[in-house]
Amino acid sequence: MTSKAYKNEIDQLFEDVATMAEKAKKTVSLAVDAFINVDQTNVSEVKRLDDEIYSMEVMIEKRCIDQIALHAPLATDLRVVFVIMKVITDINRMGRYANNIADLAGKQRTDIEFEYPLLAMSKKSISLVSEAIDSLLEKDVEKANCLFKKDKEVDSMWASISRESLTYMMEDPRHITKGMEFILVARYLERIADHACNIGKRVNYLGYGDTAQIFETQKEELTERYITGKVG
Amino acid sequence: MISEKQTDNLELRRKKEKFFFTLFNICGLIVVLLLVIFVGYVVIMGISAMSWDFFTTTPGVGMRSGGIVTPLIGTVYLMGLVALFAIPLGVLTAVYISEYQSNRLMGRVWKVVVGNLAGIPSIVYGLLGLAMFVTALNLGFSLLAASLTLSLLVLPIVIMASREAIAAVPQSIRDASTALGATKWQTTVHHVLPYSISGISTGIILALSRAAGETAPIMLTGAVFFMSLPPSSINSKFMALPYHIYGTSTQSYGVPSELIFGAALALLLIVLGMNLVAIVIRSTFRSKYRW
Amino acid sequence: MVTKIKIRDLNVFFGEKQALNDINLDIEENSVTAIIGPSGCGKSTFIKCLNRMNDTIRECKVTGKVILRDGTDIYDSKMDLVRVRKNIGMVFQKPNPFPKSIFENIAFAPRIHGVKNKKDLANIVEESLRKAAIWDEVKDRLDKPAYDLSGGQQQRLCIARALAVNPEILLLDEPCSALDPIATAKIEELLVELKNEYTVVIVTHNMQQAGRVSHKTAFFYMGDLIEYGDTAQIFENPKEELTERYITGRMG
Repeated sequence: MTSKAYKNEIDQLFEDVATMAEKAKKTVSLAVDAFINVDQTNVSEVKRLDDEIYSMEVMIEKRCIDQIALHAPLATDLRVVFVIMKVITDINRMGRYANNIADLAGKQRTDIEFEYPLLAMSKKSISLVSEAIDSLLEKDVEKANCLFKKDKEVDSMWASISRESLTYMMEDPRHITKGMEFILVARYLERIADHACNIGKRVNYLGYGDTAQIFETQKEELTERYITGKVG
Repeated sequence: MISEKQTDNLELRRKKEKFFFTLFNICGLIVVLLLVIFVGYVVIMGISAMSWDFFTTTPGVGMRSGGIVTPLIGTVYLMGLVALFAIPLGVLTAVYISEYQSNRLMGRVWKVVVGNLAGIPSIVYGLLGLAMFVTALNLGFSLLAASLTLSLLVLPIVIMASREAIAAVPQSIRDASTALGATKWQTTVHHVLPYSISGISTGIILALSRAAGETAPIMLTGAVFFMSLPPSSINSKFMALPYHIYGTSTQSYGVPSELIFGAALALLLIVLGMNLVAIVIRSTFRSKYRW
Repeated sequence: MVTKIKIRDLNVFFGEKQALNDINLDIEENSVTAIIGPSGCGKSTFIKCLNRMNDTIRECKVTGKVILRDGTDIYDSKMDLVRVRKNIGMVFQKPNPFPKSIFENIAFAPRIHGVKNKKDLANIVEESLRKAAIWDEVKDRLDKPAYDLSGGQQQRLCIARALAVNPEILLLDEPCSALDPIATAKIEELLVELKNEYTVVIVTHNMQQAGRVSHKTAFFYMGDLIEYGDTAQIFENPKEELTERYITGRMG
């Protein structure tokens, strides 16, 4: 028994979550650009967006608490509020990682040329975020479950980048600083993809009302299918 | 646990239950039987007198022949006048007591006063009427004095019945009306009275049939044993059915019993007929205003 | 926000017993204000003070001021009660339609306030029923007895009846306590709509209801106003220990 006011507010909250996610995606891509291009111009913009994302999280969280306090939601209504509260934390973390990436953006170029795999990885991670948010807005569990498969790709990208960086670092100790930065940025991007998966997990919860167990078995199954090459 | 002894009690209880149930049944049957015998007796004795002539001719010499037109008309006049006096006064008094009297103590005093008025024997009312209307107010031995006396007699009945009916209207309806900005009078006229009209009219009709049947008060204030013509004005004397029955059965000799019982049957018909009207009114308004 | 009703030093006595102690409260215009508190805390007494329905109760004495936005004090000795109640409508705990037709229920109040024209009356009836979101359910049976309606419909009819005199303020004394959850939800939706045009004050036993419909909440206890503030604040972080104990169900 939820009122129209409650439904309107939830719709509004979903819209704000979408806006927040857009900001997070933009922040990540700006930060990665700044790092790859060794360009300081957008770093302050990244910081500003990160702050905005954080204040959005605080605001949405407050509104979610209001909804719980005022409307005492139950069943789906309760899960929706809970999911929104969890998802905004994930999105906020993405903003934080983008901020960390921007912090690593150097002031001058070095001679390591390594942009391509990193750019590809950031695009992949961002697309994962987009799909996660889409699945949330559409409450599409199938779509959410596809995320885990793609997360594996991001994982393997992160593994290959770190291996490659390690090779550079072993070749020449002068590359250690840059190599470490590459590894860190790749790690951050991998974490961002993980947070996208977390959102997918929440969509699962939203749809089935069950905690992670369903998801875990599905994930394992998916992983196995992926490894054994039975996917798509 | 239920012991053997208690089981015995159960048996005894069942027997007792059966005994009292039978007893109550018999009591109820006796009452119904008495009523049937009583009404049946009047009908059987009086039915042979029933004819158009009986209702349209004046009583003959010594009441030994003729009809009942003069006492019938007298009773109808009497009831009309009683209705005229007692209804407005009684209903408005009831409205005052239950709607306007805000002091709780006074409300209780009113209730006691009205209740006691209803319990006063009718002959006392007769004496009062004789002293007040006939003598003190110099109205004489007349239809007016008699109907005023009867009005006093039935007033408590009208007031009590109206009060009960008005009290049965839920307070929530008055609140609703008041909260809409209606004055107390508007609330009373638009809601309280219409919704209680069935109870009030039942009370009025019971009061009128009581008035129709009373003998003692009118005997002292205006009814006469014999008149050849119906009363010409409210100041003239009159004949009335109950007094006519009293007169024919005790004061004159040789009156055929069918004439006496015919008059009794006519009175019974009037009273029963009015009760019937009361029932019809009640059920009509009940279905119109129900809550 | 504009203050619609200013309540100052309101005391209510029933004979020797004091029912409300020095209530001071500002009610905002075009919003829903909820009054909550345990049974016997004086919340119904309080709301009845706002349109002087307490006057109908014997031995009830009220001191203090209830000042409307236009500056009039409804407890002014010169105040016309009819005008007060025309401006401040009230809906009661149990649905109490008149035992008349649906049309007559609504038309009564405009009629006693002087609307004679049949067409005008019909317009008022339709408009009021529409505002109370019940028009579509009853438009084909306006001449049927109001008591044929379900409890929830009757209560909305009572709201429509109160709206028919075009009041500025609508008082509701536990309007849903006799209704099932679905009828309750309909009334709540309606209240949220009505606040755009009216100032609504609702007494409720049901805290969730206060949460769902109200903007501000006042908590009464033993005739005292304990706390008054934004509903979200009262529900999430009440300032008073008593409020906390009441809304968490840990009272006595």
